[in-house]
Amino acid sequence: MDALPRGIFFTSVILAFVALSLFLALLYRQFELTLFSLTLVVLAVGLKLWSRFSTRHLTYRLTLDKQKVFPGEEIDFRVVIENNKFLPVLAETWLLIPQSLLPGNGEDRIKEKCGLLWQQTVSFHRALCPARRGVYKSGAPRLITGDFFGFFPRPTADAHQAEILVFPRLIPLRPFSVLNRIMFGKKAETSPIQDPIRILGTRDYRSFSPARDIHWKATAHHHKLQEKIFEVTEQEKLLIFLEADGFVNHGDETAFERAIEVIASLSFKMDANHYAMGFLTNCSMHNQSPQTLKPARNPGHLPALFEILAKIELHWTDPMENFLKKSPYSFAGSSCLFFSYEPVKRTSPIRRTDVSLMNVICRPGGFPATMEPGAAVRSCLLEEIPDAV
Amino acid sequence: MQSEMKRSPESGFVHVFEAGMDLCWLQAWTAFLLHALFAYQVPLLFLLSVYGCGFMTNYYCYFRKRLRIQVFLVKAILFSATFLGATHFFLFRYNSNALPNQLSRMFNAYDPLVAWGLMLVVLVMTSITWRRSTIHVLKPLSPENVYLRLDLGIAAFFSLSILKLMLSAKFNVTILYPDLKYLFFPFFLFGLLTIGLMLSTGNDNRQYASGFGRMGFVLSFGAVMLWEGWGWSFCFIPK
Repeated sequence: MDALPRGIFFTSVILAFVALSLFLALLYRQFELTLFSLTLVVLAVGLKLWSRFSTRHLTYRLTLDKQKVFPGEEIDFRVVIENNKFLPVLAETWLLIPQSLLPGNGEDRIKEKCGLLWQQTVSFHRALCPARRGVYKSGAPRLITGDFFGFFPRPTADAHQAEILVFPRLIPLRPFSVLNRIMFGKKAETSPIQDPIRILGTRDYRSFSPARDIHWKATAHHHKLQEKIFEVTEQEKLLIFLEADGFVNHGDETAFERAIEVIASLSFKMDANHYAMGFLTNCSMHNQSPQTLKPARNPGHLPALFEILAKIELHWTDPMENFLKKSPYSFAGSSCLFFSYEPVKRTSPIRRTDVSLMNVICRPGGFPATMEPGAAVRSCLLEEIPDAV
Repeated sequence: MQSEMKRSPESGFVHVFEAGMDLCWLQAWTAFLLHALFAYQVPLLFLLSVYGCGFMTNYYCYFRKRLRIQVFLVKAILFSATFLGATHFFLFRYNSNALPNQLSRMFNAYDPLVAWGLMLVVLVMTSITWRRSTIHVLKPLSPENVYLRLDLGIAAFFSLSILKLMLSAKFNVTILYPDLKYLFFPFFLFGLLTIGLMLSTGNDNRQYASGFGRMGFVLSFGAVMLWEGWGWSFCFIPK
C-alpha cells in the first residue's frame, strides 16, 4: 500500500502530463523540454523503485527500560529504527501515546521524520509516567518508510505494541494484625520439621535422637543426658479475598481502587513478616489471567501477587460462593482477610469454623445499619486501615 | 505541525543550497525575459547579489526589534540601493553594447518605451528575487517548505520550457539563451541535497552500526561535497 507522493510533480496526473509534454517535445525537437521531462520521469521512476526497496532490511522495535512499575515511576520509552543496508531510506514514525501514560505536561505523540543513511540506527524516545494501576499498551506506531528524500512514502504493515504493567500504589498502613488461628500456643507434634535455633526447653535424652541435639550444659547441671526441644517450623498462611460483586453493583471505582491499594500494601507488609500469602478474587482479569494465587513464600511470589492486582478489572466473572466451592486448595488453618463492599453473607462458604476470618468492608460511610449484631465474623472498615499521614 | 530544523552548522549549508534552488529558476526566467525582449545577457551574479542583500536585510530586520516604519524604511532603502547597484555593476556593465547601459539614462522619460520596459522587467525580477529571499528568512526550514519550493521551481522550469516550445511551434522563434539544462540540473541537485541534508541531520539519537562509523561518515561527506560541486559547476558554466 502506497501513500500519496509528496511534491505535486510526482503525482500520477502531473506525471502523465509531463509524459505528454515529453512526446510533444520529441515531436517538435525541443531538446530542453525533452531533457527536462525525461529528467522528471526518470527521477519519479527511480525514486519509486527506491521507495519499494526501502522496506528491506529495515527493522523497528519498541523498547522500555522497565515494563513493570509502580504509579509515578518514569519509564523511558523508545522507538528504535534500524536500516541494515547500504541504501539510505526515510523513516517516519507516528505514535499516539495514551493520555494515561503521560506525565502532566508531556507530549502525547511521537511524530518524527528523518533520513537514515547506510547502516544507521535512530531512536526516538519519550518519558512515560503512568499514574494509575493497570495494564497499558503503548499504542502501535505507524512506520512510514520510503526513498531518502521522502517523495514516495510507504507505510509498513508491522504493528508492534509494548505492554506496561502498573502495580497498585503502596500506601502507609496503621499497625494491623490478622486473626491468628492458633489460640492456645503451638503443639510440637504438629510439624515434623523443627527450627534448630529456637529452643523451647530440654528433656531426658532418647536413644534415637541425634547426638548433636544433646544440651551439654543441661546435662552437666542434671548429671544426666539432656536433649534440646526445638520449636516447630511453621509458617503462617494469610489468604486475601476480594469480592467484586458489591463494587460492580454500586459502580464504586474509587473504593475498588482503594481496596486494591490496601491489599497490595498489606501483602507487602505481611510478606515482610514472613507470612505465606495467597489471593483469590472473582473479578475479571486482563487477558483472562489467573484469578488465584496459592499461598506460598518464595522470591517471585509477591511480584506475582502484585501482577494479579495490577490486572484486575472492575467486572466480575462468577459469584464468589462458586469460586470458593471450586477453589483448588483448602483454606483450613489459614487466616483470611475478606475484602467486600458489603458485609460477608451469613450463607457464605467462607464462614467456616476452621477459618479465622476478618471481613474488611469497603463501602464508604461506615458499617451498614442493617448489619446483624453479634455476627460471628470480625469486621473492620477499609478506611481504618490506611494511615492518614 | 512542521518539524523545523535547529540551528546547526548543517543548517548553514541547507540555507546555501536552498538559495541555490531559488536562484536557478529565477535566473532561468530573468535571463529568458531580458534576452527575449531586450537582447540582454544576465550573469548569475546579478541575481546572486540581489538575493544575498535581500537575505541579509531581512535577517537583520527579523532578529532586531524595530518599529514597523523603521523596518520599512531600512528595507526600502536597501532594496533601492541593491537594485541600482546590481543593475549597474552586474547587468549594464555585462551588456555594454545594449541599451540603456547607464544609470543616468535609466529614468530618462524621453527614452523610448523599450527602456522603460527594460526597467520594469528588471524591477519586477529584482522584486521577485528579493521576495524569495524574504520568504527564505521568514519561512522555517522544514522538509514541507522545501517540497513546496521544489514544486515552485519545477513549475517555473516547466512553464518556461512549454513557453519555449510554443514559441517554437507557433511562431517559429527559437530562443537558445539561457540554456536551461545548465540551470535545471543544478536545481534538482540543490533541491535533493537540501531535502537530504535536512532529513539526515538534527537528530542526536542517530548512530551508525558498529564497524560502519568511519566509513559512513566518509561516504556521507563525500556524497554531499560531490553533489554540491556538481551543482555550483553547472551554475557557473558559461552559457
